[in-house]
Amino acid sequence: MAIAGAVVVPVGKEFEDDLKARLNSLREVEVQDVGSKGIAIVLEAEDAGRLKEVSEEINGWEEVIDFQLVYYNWEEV
Amino acid sequence: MALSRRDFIKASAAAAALSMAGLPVEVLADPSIRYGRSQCRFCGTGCTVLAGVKNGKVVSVKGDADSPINFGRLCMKGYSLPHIMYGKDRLTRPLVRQADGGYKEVSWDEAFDLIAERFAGYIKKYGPDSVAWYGSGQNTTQEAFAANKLFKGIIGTANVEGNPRLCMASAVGGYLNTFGADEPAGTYDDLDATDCFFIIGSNTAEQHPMLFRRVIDRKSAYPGRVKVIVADPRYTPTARYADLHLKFRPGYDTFLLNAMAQVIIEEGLVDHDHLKYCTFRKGLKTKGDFVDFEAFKAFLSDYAPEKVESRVGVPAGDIREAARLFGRKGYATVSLWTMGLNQRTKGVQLNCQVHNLHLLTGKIGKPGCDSLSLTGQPNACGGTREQGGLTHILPGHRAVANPKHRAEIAEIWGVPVEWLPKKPTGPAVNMFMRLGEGKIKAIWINTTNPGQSLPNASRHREAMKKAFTVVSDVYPTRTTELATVILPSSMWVEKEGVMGQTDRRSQFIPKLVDPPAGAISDFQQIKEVARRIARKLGRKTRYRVIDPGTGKVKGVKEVYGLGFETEEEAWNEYRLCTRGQDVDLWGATYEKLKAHAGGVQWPCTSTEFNNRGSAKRYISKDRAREVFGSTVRQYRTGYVTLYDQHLEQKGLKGPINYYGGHPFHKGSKGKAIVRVLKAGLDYEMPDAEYPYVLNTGRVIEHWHSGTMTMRVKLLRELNPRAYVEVSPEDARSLGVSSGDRLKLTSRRGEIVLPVWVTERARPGMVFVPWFDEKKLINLLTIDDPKSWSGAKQPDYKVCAIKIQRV
Repeated sequence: MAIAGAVVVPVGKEFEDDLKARLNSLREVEVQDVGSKGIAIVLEAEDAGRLKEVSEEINGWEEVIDFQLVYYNWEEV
Repeated sequence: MALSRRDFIKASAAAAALSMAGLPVEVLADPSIRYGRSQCRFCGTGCTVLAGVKNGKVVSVKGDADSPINFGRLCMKGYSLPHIMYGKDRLTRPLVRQADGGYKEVSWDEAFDLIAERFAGYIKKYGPDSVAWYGSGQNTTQEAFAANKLFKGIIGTANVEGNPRLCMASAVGGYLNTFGADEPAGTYDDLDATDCFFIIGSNTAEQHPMLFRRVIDRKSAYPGRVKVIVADPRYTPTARYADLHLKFRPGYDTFLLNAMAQVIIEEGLVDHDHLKYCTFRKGLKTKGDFVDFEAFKAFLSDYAPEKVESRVGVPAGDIREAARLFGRKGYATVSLWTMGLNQRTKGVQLNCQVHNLHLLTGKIGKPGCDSLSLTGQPNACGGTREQGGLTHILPGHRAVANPKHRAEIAEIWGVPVEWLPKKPTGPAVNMFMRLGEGKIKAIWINTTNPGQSLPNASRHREAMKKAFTVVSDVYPTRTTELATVILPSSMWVEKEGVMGQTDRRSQFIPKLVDPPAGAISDFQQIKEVARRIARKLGRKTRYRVIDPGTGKVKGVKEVYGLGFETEEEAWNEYRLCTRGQDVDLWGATYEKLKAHAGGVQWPCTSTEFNNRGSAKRYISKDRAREVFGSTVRQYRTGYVTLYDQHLEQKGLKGPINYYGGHPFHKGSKGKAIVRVLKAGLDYEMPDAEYPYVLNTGRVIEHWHSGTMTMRVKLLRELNPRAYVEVSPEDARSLGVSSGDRLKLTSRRGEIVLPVWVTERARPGMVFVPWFDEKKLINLLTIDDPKSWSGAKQPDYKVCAIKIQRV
C-alpha cells in the first residue's frame, strides 16, 4: 500500500472548484481542503506504480499548473 | 479511539499536504521521536530538514518551517532521506582485494597501515605526484579540508580533484571571467521578488524542486507580471510551465544568447548607468583586447534573431520576445541554470553570455535580480569551490600557483611552504588518464562513483582496476568493484560537518545517530591515514591551537598528521583561511551555524551572533538602502545584510564594486567584464555517420549514480531502470514504440535501452538518465580534452550517436 500527501495547484483560482470535483472523482484521491497555495489531497494506491500513474494523470490535466508530492509512505499496512 | 497504522500514515500525509497548501494543521506528534536540524543530503539547494530519531535510528524527516530556503517543504528525495541510510547492503567492514579477485575483511588498523605503506612507498619512490585524491561535492567541508591539507600540505601534490569538476567547473569559469570572483552576487530570496525567470539548461522543476516551488509561488502571486522563459532542447516539466519555451537545437545556445544580447541593445533595453561598472573584452581569460560598447554592438549585428533563427531552431519572434521580457525596464530578472550550460564544450562561454545579459540590463545587485548558477551537489560550493578542492586552488579562493597564497595557507596549516605544490597538475579526467598511464600509482576516491560517472568510462574503469585504488563509500558501487581497498563510511547525520550551497550559504549537519557498527566517518579515515603517512615521510605539522572567537593562537603542537582532532577544530582552522578573503566565513562560528535555520551566507565578517552574512555581493550599504529601502533582512533568528560585508570591511568604493581580482579579471579593477564571444558549437556535433545527439542527465526520482536513491524502495519502484527518451517524430522514422529496444552507439561504446516515446525529446536528440548502474550510459560519452570546457569540464550534453532498432 502506498500513501502520499500532495498539493495540486490550479492554473487559476477560477479552476479551483472544477479541479476539486475532478480530483474527487478519482478513486485513489481524498481532497482534504483548499488553501492559499493549492488543494491538499491524500493519495492511496495499491503500490508505488499506481501512485505514480495517478500523480502523472493529475499533473497532465490542463487546469493543473503544479503537482507536488509532499509526503510518502509505502510500508505494508 | 486508537489510530491504526494506516490511519496514522494517512493523517500524516494529510498534515503535510495541508501545511504545504497554506492551511493550519493539527500535527500528530510522536513524542518518542526527537528532531535535530540538518540539511538535505541530495542536491545543491540545501533544504533545511528536521531529522527524527527514535531508538538510535532516523525514522522520519520533515522540512524545517524556519528555513529561509524551503520553508518547511521537501521534495520526494528529501522525504526519502531516512531510507537511504538503511539499505541491506551497507558496507560495514574494511575490505582488501586478494590475488584471486575476492575481498578479505581486515581491521581498520590493517587497512590504514596498508594504505599508508603503499602511498608513502610510492611517494618516496616516484615523488608526490604518484598519488592522488578524488573527492566529492558530497564530502563535508571538514573532510575536504582535511584531504586538501594531507595531499597539498603534507604530501605536497596538487593531485587533488573531485567530482565538482564534472558538474560546475564551467560556472566557476564564468564567474571568474565576468566578475573576477567565484559564486553568485545574489541569493535565493531574489526568486521571491523577481518578475522574470530566465531558466536555461536546467530542469529546475525536477532537479531543484524546492527552488521551483518558489518560482511557482512567485508566478502564482503575480501571474500577469511574472514571466517564465525556459530555454531547453527538451520539453521538460520546467518547460511545460513556461510562458515562453525556446526549444533550441542542441549546441546552438551560444547563438541564442548572443541574439538576445543583440535585441537588448537594438531595442533600447540597456541600462547605461550600470554599464559604468562594466568593461568589454574579447574572448575569455586575459587573452583578448578591451573594446567598447559600440564595438560590442557592432559585433552583435551578425547575431540579429532573423539572421540566426534557422541555426538556433527558434523563431526570431520568440528570441525577440525572450530578450524583451528579460530586459523589461523597471522589472527584475533572475537567471537559473545548471548542467545544460556547464557540461558543455562551450560551458564557460555560455555562463559568461548569461552574465552578459544581466550586466547589459543592470539586472544584478537589486531585489529580484541575479545571474544565479544552481549547483547539483550539497557541498560542491563549500567543500570544493571555496575550500580549494581542485588541483589549481587552495582554501579561501586562493591559487596554488600564487606564492603569496601558498605562504598564507602554509602558515595556517603549520607546514613549511616548500612542501606545497607550486603548480597544478591536471583536472579530474586528466588525473584518471594519468592513472591509466601509470604515472599515478595510487588514488583515494572518496564519496563519489567515478566508475559510473566519468565520461568514456571504460578506459578509466580499467585504470582504477589496475592501480592501487582506495574507495570510501557507504554502499557497493560500480567503483568499489574496482577498488583495492574499500573503506566503509558513515553518512549524512551519522557524522558531523558543514556544507555550502548555491547562494554562498553554509549549514551545519549534526551527528544524530551512530553509523552501523564497523563504519566510521571519512574525516576520521583521513585523519588516521594522514597520521601514518606523515610519520612514514617524517613530516611534522606545527598545529596552531586557536581561539575560535578571536583567531589568536593559544598554543602550538608539533604532530604527525593534520593537527586538528575534531570537526569543529578543522572548521575553525578553515575559517582562518577565509578570514579577510571575499569568501569570508570567519563569522560562521559553530554556534551560529547550529542556531540559525538556513545557516550563514558569506561574506560574513563578524562573529556577532545575529549576523548571518551577506545576501548580496558587490553593493555598498548606501546602495542597499537605495535599492532595497533597507540594509538588512531580518529572519526569524538573526539577519543578513543586503550589502556586501567584504566590500564594507575592506573600505572599497561603492555604490557598485565588482572587486574580483582573479587573474582573468586583470585590467578591470572594480568593474565586471562583458565578454565579447563568438558563437560556437560543442566538440562532437552529429554527422552523417552519427546523426543523433545524446543528452544525459538526472531524473526526479534519483540522484546522481543512484547509490542512495536506488536503495529506497519507492524511488526504485517509481523509476527502476534507465531508458532512452525518443521524440514521436524520431520514433516514427526509427519504427519504434515505447517499450521497444534501441541500440545507441557512439565512437566510444554502445548500450541497449528500452524506448520511451515522449514529447519531452526533441527530434534529432535523445536523452538517457545516468542513475542506472546496470546501464552505464557514460560508456558512450566523450572524454577527449578537446571536448572540455575552458574550465576542463567534460561535455555530457552533446555527444554524437547512431541508433538502431534491436
